[in-house]
Amino acid sequence: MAECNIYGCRVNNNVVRYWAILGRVSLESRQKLDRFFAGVERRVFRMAVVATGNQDDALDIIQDAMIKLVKLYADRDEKEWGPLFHRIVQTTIRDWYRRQRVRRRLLGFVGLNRDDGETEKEDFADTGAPAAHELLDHSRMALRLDRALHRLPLRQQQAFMLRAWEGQSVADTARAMGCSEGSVKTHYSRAVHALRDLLEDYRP
Amino acid sequence: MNQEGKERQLTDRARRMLEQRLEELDEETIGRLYEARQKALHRPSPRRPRWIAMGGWAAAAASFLLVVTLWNSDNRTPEAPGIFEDLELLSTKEDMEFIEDLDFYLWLDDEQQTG
Repeated sequence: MAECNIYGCRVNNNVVRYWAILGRVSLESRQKLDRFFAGVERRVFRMAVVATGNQDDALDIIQDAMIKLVKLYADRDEKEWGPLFHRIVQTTIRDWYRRQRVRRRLLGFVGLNRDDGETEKEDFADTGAPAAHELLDHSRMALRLDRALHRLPLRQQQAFMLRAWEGQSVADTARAMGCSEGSVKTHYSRAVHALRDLLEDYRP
Repeated sequence: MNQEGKERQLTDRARRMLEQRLEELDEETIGRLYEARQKALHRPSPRRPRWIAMGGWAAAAASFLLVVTLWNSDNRTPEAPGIFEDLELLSTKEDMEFIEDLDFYLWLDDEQQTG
């Protein structure tokens, strides 16, 4: 890791670079970014919770994504931030998945893998939701949907969240996911099919 | 109802449920999101380490002694301007800001290590 020495302290060069970048972002841009993040952070956080199954990892993903947007696109037009931020969040989630897969493989290799595919899914108890017996019917159904979404393959989950929840077009979803429009349609249709039984049970 | 209409109905239900979960976010989580946003957008206000504060007083006292010594000295040597230049260099605002940002460097460094 590249480092420099400042007054006897080892400082990562990336740190110094980020500090310099922040220094160049005008106060006005920062205020605009602040408003932008405030408007989208809860929704993207919920997407990250559904993807990762726990709040801490989801928060890390959101903070990383915010830092990347500031670092790379603070000077872009405000209208571009939405699609760019979604793209960054989805890519960061995908990276997280890859790291988890490698970790599981390594742990499996040394015989320490306790993950039978269900471990992380149970972490939904950590989402700040009330206990199951206190939930109203619609809340219980919402929690079930969270779990069902979490069990979907990541690409199907991303396509569903962006299309059905965010209401994004096929083209915007493809841009956010970094794939073709055809793939989005396939992933989305499979996701709807997988969730059909659950959603048909729901009577609001 | 045709296939498209049925699908729309299903996704409408899903949207309502997801909105429901969004409303259930607790205050602590909302606070942590706010914190994450602030970390991405602002440098944390630096806490000046005690040694820097003490160093400041020591530097001021030393400067005062030096000025008095030079003032009383008959021997105004050519080195004197050099000493003043050093003092000026040490007391520039930029340098102090640089030192004050050490906390920020350490925080971000820590973020990189843990991230």
